[in-house]
Amino acid sequence: MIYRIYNCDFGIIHNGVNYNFDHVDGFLVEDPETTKLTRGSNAGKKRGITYKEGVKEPKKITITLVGITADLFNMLSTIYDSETRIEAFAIDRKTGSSKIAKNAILSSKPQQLTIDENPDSQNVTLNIETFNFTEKQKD
Amino acid sequence: MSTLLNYVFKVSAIAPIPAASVGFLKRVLVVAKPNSATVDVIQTCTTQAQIEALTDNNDAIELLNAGMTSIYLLPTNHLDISSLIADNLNDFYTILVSSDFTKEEMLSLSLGAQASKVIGDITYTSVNKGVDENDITIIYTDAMEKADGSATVAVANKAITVDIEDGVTDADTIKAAIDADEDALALLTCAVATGQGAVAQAIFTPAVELENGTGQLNVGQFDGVIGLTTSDKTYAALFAAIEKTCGFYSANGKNMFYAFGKMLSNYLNWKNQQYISMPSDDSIVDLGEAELLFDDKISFVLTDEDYLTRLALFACGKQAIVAPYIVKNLQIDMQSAALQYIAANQPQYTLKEASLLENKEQDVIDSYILKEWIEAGVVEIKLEASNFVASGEINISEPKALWRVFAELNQTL
Repeated sequence: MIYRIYNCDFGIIHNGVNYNFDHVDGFLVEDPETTKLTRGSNAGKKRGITYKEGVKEPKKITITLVGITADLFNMLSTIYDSETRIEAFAIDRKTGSSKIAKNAILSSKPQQLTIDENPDSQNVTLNIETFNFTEKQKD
Repeated sequence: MSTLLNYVFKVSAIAPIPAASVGFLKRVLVVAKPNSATVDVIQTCTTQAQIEALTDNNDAIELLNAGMTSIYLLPTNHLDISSLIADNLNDFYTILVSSDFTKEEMLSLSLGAQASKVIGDITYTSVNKGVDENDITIIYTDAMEKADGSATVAVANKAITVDIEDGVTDADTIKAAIDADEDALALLTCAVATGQGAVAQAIFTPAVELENGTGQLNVGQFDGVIGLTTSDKTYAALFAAIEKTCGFYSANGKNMFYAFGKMLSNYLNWKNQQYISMPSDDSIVDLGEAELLFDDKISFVLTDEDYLTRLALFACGKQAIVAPYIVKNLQIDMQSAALQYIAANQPQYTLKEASLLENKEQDVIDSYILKEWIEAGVVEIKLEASNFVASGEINISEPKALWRVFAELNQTL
């Protein structure tokens, strides 16, 4: 199932309450965990041994908001300052498929970094980290 | 409250819905025979003295000895308690029947047996099941002249009097008279032995009672765990096989009550109480006997030279004793989570909201997995065609308990 951004709703869950983002330009997930194969230098067996890399690194989710209300900004700032755990979600409206980051933190303070006439200057990036990222596919 | 404050800045406060209480899962109702005028009313007991004021049976005291701080006690002379507990179904999740009651009474009405009696050539069988049917009596009298050999039937409460002509009235005639009497038919049916219909019947005195009726336990809508203790292995096996029923093999009720008390007095966790020390010796010392009890999943206490008396199995309905409690706990927590989510977020009827609700419910299951109460669980919530209602499916693994290990030791050269 492929997510199309124009079918998705995005937001966070804070203290059991959902907060939806009105304008989102992107939802990027980086998962450093990989499963690899290795074997002894004697090269005796072709099956190999599996091991994982990147398990100590959190999954990173980057949500690009276009514009942000003052209320949301203040709330996100408080969440960042208090290191409160939140959940961030991307849900396909048509199927209910979802990507949800649970027990997540904001790893950087949300802020508008650029002020100029470029429309991208309205972007505010949310950087989220979590070890508990779930995805549910539905048809 | 200042009028100006409300005029300037009107605030509508919305109180959050609190999480549902699961405290009742740790509470227990004891059913015991009364020793006072307080009968058929549930009482709360926090001390041994309060228990002793209501019943002479000491089983309930073991609950306090095990660490419980309060119990409910129902002093009653019978186990048909559905009406007595109907208003208290949310106060407790465990019913323990004291050793006051017989094994025949402890059998539920639905599993019980009808009472019966063979009198002459007629077999009388009660219509209903249960120990109370053993109170039905029958007597043949010859009070009035009946030259035609007819029979008349009179019923007073559970006493049936059949007036016949002694040595003349035959079995078929008696049966016909019983069948024609509504009051008698409400109590019992009768069957004549094959080929004996024309045999004359004789009067007798005193009246005889029907017998072998079993079953009295009736808890109505109660859907929790029932603990039954007996020194009869056959009945213990029967009890142990009933869903959400603990069949405890013991000489008295002390061990079963103590085991439940230990489990229910732990407010933080659900533990199976493997091999805890027990207060009473049931003289089970033989491994073979223990194996047979284990095979039937009968709860029991083993006596060992070194370890003395130890709980050797604690189960209900052939499941781990904690299984029904964990499942009920999970059910309530999930219901509570759904209520809190819907109240806080006022969701629309959309797939997105169904997905978020499903996520919330899954968090509850995941917390149980984290506590190792269950191994796995998945919840799925779907929208149906109708408004207002979504459908859900929850699949969880059965909570289990590890009691024994079977191993093979191979010696090599």
